[in-house]
Amino acid sequence: MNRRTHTPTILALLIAAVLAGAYVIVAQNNAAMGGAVETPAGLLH
Amino acid sequence: MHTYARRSLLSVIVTAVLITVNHLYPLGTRALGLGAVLVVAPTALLWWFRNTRSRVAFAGYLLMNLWIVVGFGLIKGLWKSTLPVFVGTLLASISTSFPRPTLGPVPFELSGILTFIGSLFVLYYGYRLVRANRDAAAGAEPEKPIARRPVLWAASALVAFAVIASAYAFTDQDRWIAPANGVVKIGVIVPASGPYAILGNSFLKAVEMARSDLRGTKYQYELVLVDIGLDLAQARTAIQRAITDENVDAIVGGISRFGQVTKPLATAARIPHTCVCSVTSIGDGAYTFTNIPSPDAEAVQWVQEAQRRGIRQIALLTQDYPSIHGHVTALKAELARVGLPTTYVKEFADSVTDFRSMIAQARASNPDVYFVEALSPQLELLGQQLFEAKIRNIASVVAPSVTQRPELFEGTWYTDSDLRDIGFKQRFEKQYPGTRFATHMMPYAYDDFNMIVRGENPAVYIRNIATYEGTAGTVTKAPGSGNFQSRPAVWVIQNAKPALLSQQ
Repeated sequence: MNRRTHTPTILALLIAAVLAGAYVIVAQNNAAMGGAVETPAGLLH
Repeated sequence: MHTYARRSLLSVIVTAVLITVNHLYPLGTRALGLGAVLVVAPTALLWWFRNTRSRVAFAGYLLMNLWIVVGFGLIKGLWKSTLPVFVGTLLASISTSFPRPTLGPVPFELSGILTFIGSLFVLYYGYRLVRANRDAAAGAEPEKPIARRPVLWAASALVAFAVIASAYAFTDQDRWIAPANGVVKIGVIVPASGPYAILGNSFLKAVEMARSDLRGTKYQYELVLVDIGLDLAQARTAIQRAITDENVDAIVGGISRFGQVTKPLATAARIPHTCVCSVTSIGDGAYTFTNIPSPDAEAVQWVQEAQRRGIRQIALLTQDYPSIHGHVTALKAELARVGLPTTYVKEFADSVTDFRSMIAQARASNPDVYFVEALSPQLELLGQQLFEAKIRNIASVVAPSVTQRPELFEGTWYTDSDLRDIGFKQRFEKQYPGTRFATHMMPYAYDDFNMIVRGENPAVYIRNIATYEGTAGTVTKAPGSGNFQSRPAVWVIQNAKPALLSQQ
């Protein structure tokens, strides 16, 4: 087994894991912070 | 060397594409210009270097690499995207002394993180290129990269990340800096002119009353009135000036369209901002918090009262207006949930002045109650024509409390904000004779001010509030939420004045 031949695979997996984790965190965060911006209610409040 | 030159340039181009995608959000199509510079300049410089061995070209190429690594990779990608997403979110979940990070859309944040990762490749292949160039200049064979001491490398990377994450945590934590003169400035963001002026003036008076009611506080509180007018750009400038020039320590505001303008400015300044706003997405739980009954809460209370009164069918006559839309949508959903039918539904434009035909059609549908909601002057016109038609079984949400002619709505019941102590309203009207008491805003303005001054560190204190007993009754907030929930009350127009039904 040559360690270097696995380096690209390990890097790709690491990057994929980071992106997947970030996707989940950002989606949850944005949903918890109100999601899509609503139409301003205007005069009343 | 050619191999590293190709890989270096490839990593630069890929990272430049990611930077462009990331900057499409703040810059729009101008980001394409930035991307073009980041692709064309390094390509041209490397081509120049490989053809002439010019040191200037090589130095220029390396400077472009440095810009990408430091300016975009570390500052933008690592500090502003990667650390907030992972470390900021983790810290906010552990302690309320850390704000929940304000994150952009998923593609924006992912492209930011990828920019950081790409910049590491730029750094690595830039380094290999420099080494290969040095070896070539010395006439030696280029050294092949060998993974030496991988555990040491991994440990070093972890230590570096821990140090950077610690620095981020240090800067991310909210710390209260007591004002040197003991005076805390609170900006009051309300329109003092135009059609909002009545509400704005009432709001300011409620905050002034809250301040004058304070006893034995550690600091003195100075109110800074920020007249935001009507134009949103003018409002943004006025709020920014209050933050940077007046150095306000917190903001209380009302009316959603101005709350939306204030929110990013308060977040950037890291000062708490409470808003009597019905648009719940304004409250982020970090620095901005909304406090007013939601349309859903109004609808639930309204339908409960309708059922209590034995109402079985309802006619809806409402104006086409955003906040009224919110109430009507929530009301329809709640009516459907409990199985109460609507016999007539009509939404009218603000140009309508003759409501007689729609009143006749609504009457023909034989409703038990007419749900009416509109703004002045349509509200008064509709009220007058309902009065002339001898229709007295009218109900609403909020609107009768702001009508110019409450006598037209004698006996009308409606839901509006609660008042735990009616004495608050009486005291307000005595203290500020001639100033309208807008029930749906004043108690919340009073309570919002008090929430800010109660805690040593206002932002952290408000984040920690789960239940608050104020003049608007009990309001609650779920952990991490930016919205205080409150239960509205049922009011009746009696002797041309709003009266709480529970106190009849």
